[in-house]
Amino acid sequence: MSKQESKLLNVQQSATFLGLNPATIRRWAKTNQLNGIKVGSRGDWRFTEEALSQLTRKPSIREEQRKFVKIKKLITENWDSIQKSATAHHTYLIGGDPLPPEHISKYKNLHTQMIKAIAHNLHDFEKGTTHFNILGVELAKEAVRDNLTIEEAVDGTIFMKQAIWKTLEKTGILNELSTQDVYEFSQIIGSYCDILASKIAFTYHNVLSEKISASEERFKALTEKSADAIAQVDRKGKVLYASSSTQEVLGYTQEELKKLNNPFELVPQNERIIITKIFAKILSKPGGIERVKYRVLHKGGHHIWVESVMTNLLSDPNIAAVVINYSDVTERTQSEDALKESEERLRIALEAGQIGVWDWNIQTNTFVWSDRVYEFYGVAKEDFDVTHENFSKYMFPDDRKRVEEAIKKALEGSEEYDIVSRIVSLEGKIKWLSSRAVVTRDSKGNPLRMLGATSDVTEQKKIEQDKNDFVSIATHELKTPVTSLKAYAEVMQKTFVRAGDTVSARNLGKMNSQLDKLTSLIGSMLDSIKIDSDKLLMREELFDFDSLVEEIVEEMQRTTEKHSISIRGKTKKSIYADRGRVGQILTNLLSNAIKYSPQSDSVLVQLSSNSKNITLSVKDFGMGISKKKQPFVFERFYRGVGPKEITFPGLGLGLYISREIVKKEGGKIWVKSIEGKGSTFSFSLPVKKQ
Amino acid sequence: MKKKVSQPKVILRKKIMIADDDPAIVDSLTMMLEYGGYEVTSTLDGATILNTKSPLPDLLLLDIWMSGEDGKEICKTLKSKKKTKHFPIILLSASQDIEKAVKESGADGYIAKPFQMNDLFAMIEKYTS
Repeated sequence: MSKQESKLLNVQQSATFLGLNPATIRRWAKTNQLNGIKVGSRGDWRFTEEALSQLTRKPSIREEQRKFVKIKKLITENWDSIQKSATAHHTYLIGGDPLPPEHISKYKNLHTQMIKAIAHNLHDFEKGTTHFNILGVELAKEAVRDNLTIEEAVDGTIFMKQAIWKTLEKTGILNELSTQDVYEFSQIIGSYCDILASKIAFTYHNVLSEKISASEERFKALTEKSADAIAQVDRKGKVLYASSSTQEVLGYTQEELKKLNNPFELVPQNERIIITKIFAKILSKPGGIERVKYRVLHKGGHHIWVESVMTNLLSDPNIAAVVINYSDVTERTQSEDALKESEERLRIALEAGQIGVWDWNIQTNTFVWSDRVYEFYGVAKEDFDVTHENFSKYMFPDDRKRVEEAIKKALEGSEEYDIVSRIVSLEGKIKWLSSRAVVTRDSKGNPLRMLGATSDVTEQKKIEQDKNDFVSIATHELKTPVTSLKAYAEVMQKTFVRAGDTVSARNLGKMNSQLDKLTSLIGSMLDSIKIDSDKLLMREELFDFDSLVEEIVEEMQRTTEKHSISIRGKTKKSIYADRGRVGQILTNLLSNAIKYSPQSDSVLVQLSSNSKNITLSVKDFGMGISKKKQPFVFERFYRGVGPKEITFPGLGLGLYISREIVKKEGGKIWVKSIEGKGSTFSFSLPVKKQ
Repeated sequence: MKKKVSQPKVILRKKIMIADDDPAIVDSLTMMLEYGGYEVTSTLDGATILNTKSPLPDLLLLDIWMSGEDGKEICKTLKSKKKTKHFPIILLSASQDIEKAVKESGADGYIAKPFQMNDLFAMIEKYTS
């Protein structure tokens, strides 16, 4: 049994085994990338060495390991500036007076040892703890020899923590890590500094107490400085002493606390059991130190989170108590909880939405894919080395250029990465993937990473395609009876004219123009579908613009008896574009002008040109469009609403289609309007050379 | 062949063939063309044109969205045969964007459904005069 158990490693040991951050181990265990078992009431993870060894074949492990190596390297390389920063902070704390030169050199020595110790033991918490306990003793001795006070020696560790963190921040490496990683590193570095502080304080006090006068007072001073409050309790837990700051943290006075039989009564029931156990453990180890976090009932009736360091100094004749110093960490804990909760929510959202996430480190050109992305490509995580070259092979050939272009633009920063493209998965399936990504940059604007989310939209694409196919077939089918109807109507009209029956002939003429209207509605529906699937084709030809305008105006004039349409100016240009489509724009603008100006009787078409563009404006004197609505008139399905909510017939596609045609021809379309006075819609097109 | 069509009753009326799988189109177009003074024959199955032994009409109006044999293929085949190479063919389609199809099939022209009577007549005249 013992043999089997000895092979099981906990998270910390596993992290050391693989040279990784413990957070990574936990994450892999949770996502089943690493097989482990949960033990104990808290469900702590345990892993076999075999399971861990298998992970060394994982491509992403190198990326994870690199983080440690990088941070380690950074700390070692920058020990000089870290030390200077720590010393500077120290000076600030003791009142802004510059430190005497001999102290600076002493700190340099002390701090350098600390920095190197932290860097070397970043990945091995167990070894680190032992090492720092030894280092604590050495540093305490050194501090005494150098005539540093205990406060100076211990404060050094606090500033060290800040200095290391600041230096890491400055290098920018923290930006490259996940929130979880940053948190974990801060915990490791913070814990080492705290262990060191406790050990220095303890050694200074316990081993070298004979050299210190009034050690009790000094010790109190020390602990009150590094923590929010301090208490000393006896072996039964009864409060012997509580610092005045206790009241600020817990709300109770020293007297009130002393009255309690056991201060742990203030801890909620289920946490009290753990605390009591830890306290018992402390009692069994003279000189033992335990860090523990728990909730305490504040005098105000609410619970606060405290983090405390308990030190067994019962055997110390000067103290003869368990010293508990603690800090209010409620705010920190809550934000940690909130962070965990939001990460959890994100994970659930990603899984529910079948979203794969990926991370491309542009500097090292390495990729990290979530499991879902491997699933999309149909490749096995173990066998697939994620490189640009490898996954490019799976891109659908027709889409490759478009994807590469989009990546290029995203890296340049000229366009957001938001693309729907096809891949051919390993099993030969064509899949539509929708991807969005953001690019992070350094201070100079160079791209560092591209973080993306991808989802499989094959099903939606298929539905969309089915819908488009349906509308396309439906519109074609509608045209067939209209063709027949039109043929009969035209022939009948001619027959009636010949027979002299003018009334019937006129009615058939009206019927004919209604059929034309129906044809144009069907046409609009088809065009809208074509725009949707990017199939709006342009048949470019060189044509005389002014005669097209005359032709369309004449045609539109026939549809209205009330309005007279007049042309002002000439472009005197031939342009190279799709004549039918450009005519369609003018038809749309004119029919809108007529439709939305029922009270007026004229519509103006204004023409102008320069060497590069021709411009056409259609001006009406109708109801106009409010400033608020003007930005939306070119949107699909937008329909104008008149005074008293009068609606006008139409599909709301005319201006949308016009805008798309103008876009395809490389021109511009815009509107100017005053509500109640009328609107002017204009478009310009380039005079393209053949 | 400069025959003036001053009188619709003249024996030498132009012969137009309609190939469309929709009987309503065939019926209405027949009526329209006859009104215009043409002699009309029709088929609902375009493929029969390929095997016909009877003399060719003056022009073929061929629907290119026919179920069964695609009008485009029929047109291609006719245009590839020595005998029918110069036989004028106008494609009929409910789609506007058939330029590519027209080019590939070698047809002389095309007209989109629905069309104005005058436009159809003008096109027929263009390829039969």
